[in-house]
Parts: sequence; C-alpha cells; structure tokens
Amino acid sequence: MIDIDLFLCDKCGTCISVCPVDAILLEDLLKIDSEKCISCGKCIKVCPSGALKFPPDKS
Amino acid sequence: MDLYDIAVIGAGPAGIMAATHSVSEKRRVCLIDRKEKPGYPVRCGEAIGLKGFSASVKIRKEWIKSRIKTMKLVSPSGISISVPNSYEGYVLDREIMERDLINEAVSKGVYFLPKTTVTSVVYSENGIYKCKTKNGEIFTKCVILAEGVESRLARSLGWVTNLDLKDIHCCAFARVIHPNIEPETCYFYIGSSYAPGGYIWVFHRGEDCANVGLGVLGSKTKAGLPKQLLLDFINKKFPGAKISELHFGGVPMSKWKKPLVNKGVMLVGDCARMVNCVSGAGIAYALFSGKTAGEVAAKSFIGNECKYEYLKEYEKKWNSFYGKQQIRSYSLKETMVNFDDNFIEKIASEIDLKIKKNKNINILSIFIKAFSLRPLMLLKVIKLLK
Repeated sequence: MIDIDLFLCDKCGTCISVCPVDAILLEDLLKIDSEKCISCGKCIKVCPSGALKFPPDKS
Repeated sequence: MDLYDIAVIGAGPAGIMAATHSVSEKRRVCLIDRKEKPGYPVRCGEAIGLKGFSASVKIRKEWIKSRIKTMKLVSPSGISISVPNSYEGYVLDREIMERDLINEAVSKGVYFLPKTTVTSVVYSENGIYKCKTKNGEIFTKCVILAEGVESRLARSLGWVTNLDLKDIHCCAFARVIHPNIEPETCYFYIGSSYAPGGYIWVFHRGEDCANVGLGVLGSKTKAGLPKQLLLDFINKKFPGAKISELHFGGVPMSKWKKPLVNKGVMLVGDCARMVNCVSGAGIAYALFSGKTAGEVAAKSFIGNECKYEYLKEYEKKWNSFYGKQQIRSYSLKETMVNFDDNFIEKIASEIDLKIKKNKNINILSIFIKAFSLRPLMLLKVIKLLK
C-alpha cells in the first residue's frame, strides 16, 4: 500500500506509466487500488514532486 | 445510444489533430478529455522547430513567445558552448495554441467532451467499442488513444506500454521571471550534478520569462528529486526569481510502440511513446501522428463501416516520416546515458578549444567529437540500431 500526499500530487500520471500492475488511476484525484498494488515502490521513486511514500510502518 | 465513428481520447496536441483531421460531414467524431480545461497545466519546455511544426500545422504568430537564435550547451564545470541555431525554432505558448486548435476542431464539427474520464474501453460487438465514463457510455467504431504518458487504456487493450525506469524522464517544469534571462536563447545544462541521466533546460519565453525545467532518468532518480534539483538550480542561477508556474510530469524515453494499430484502435503521441529520446522533444511527433492517424481513420470508412485493415496505413506513414528517426534517437540515448561528467567535461573543453581557434561548430560536430574520443561508442550505437 502507498500513501498519497494529495497536496503535493500534481496529477501528472508519471507513476501510472511505470506501474507494473496498473494499480493507479487518475480521475479528479489520484487513486491506488490496494488490492492490485504489490508495493514495488516504482511509483514512489519516479514521482517528481515526492507525493508518494510507503506508510510509516513500512518505510 | 451515443454512437460516434471515431472517438479520440485525450485533448493534447496529438488528440486535437486526430479529431480535426478525421471529422467531416460524414464522420461523427468526439474529442474526450479528463480535464475541464485541457491544455493546462503545460508540462513541457514548449520548444519546437519550424520544420517539425509546419509538417502538420500552419503556425500562427500569436503562438510564438520567442524565436530561438542560439543554443548553448553548458558542461558540469560551467564551460558554455554556443551553437548558432541553423534551423528556425520557437518557444510556444501551448496554452493559446491548444485553445485555438480545439476551437478549430469544434468549428469543424468535432463534439468536444471535457471533464470526462474514460475508465475503460472494451470491444462490445459488431464493430463497436464501448468507452465507459462516469457520465455514461460512449460508443464508437474507431478509437484513437492520445492519453499521454500514462498510456493506461492502451495497456488495458493489450499493449505493453509500462515504462522501464531507464526509459522515462521524471521532470519538473517552472516558468521563471528574472532579468538575467538571455533573450532568444535555449540553454542546456548537461551532467549529473544538474540532472542525473538528463539535463536542465532554460528556454527564453518572451521578455524576462523562461521555461526552466529538468528531466532525471527514472533509474537515477528518487522521490521528489526533480523538484528539489530544479528549485536549487533556479535559486542559484536566478536568485530572487518569480516562479509563476511549477508543475511535474513524465516524458517517455523508449522506442515507439509497435503495432500502432490493433483492430479499431490507434495510438498517437506520448501514449505511443513518440518522443525524441535525445532532445526530449515530442510536440512535432504528436502533431504529425495525430494528423496522420486522423486522416487515415477518416479514409478507412467504407459506407458506415470502419475497415480495420486500412487503419494500418497510419503505421507505415509514421514509420517512414519519423519512426526511423525516433528509433535512432533511442539508440543514441542508450549510449549517452553512459557519459559521465568527466567525459562531458572533456568534450566541452575540446570543443571550446576549437571555437577559440575560430572553427565553426554545430551539433553534429559535437557528436563527432564525442565519438572520436570514444570510437567504441559508435559501434555500440550501430549495434543498437540493428
């Protein structure tokens, strides 16, 4: 599971382009499907504004 | 039933062109975008060459913010190589350009559907695709996907468009106002201290304004690094600058996606990974691919039926016009990511020496210098091209 800082998220979709399991959807806001997400962390790494992170217990 | 002949998903440069060039009295076309106001924010340096532009669109002077006369390449230690721009090139106001192009599409009869997110596209039956949105379903005989870097619907339809980390630039874009901005000049700051695996650009955008941005290679970045590097650069280079826009985005740096057509679905622009992997330029490719896909789609209708086999003509046209060039740019990029700062410094100082001896230089001569210093790299590029 990934935490999204909606204040930092610019809704650019960079994370979506690298997600290997298509767990991320952008409508009005960014959403991550926790059932599909495999917590690989690629989205966190590529996010240019640093809006994504693992929840505290995992980082 | 809301039935169209052609549905274009995504109203960026590629999608707008696809809609404009497929609509006619006979062909019912819609242009769908997630946003209420497509075209904003502009996640782009907004630079384009006249040649690439005029291949698809008649340029209007209201769209031009600056004419680029000089390019300057800056090494990690600060050696600046000035290259006269032998081609006519511009920095655009994409917001105005895209607004005008959408208005033109609508005046030609395109149904413009903003604030509409397509969550899925599925083939239903009898040559009809169903696009699901929150506001209901849209039915169409042909789909043109222009959804940008995300390329999510393309994936759901069977294309493998997920990007490897080494094939994406993670970017930050700012619009900066400062008296030190050099008019009619495009700067490229190259080296890992500026942007690992990428570069920083400063493109003059009229008066005291510039688009300042950077791309960091996905395999060399970390969370939030592009933002931090860009703000640090602006603070250092343009102290006290006013930043009027700050946005982020991804630029695909992979080979364009074959096949471009599958049954009744076509891919255009960033969604099809059509970006020059050396320069990061994608507007000209987007305009051309959108225009060509639109024209081919319109011609693929016999009566009221879309003949899928005719759509394939689009890939042939793309391949011969820009496709091969794009593949070459990928091979060059694969080699250039291995340039370390010392090597960039060495090329810069040797070129600088040439300039001091009053020798003419251009971009090609810089590449020739790089390959003469490391001939094995040239072999690698040739190998990658095979």
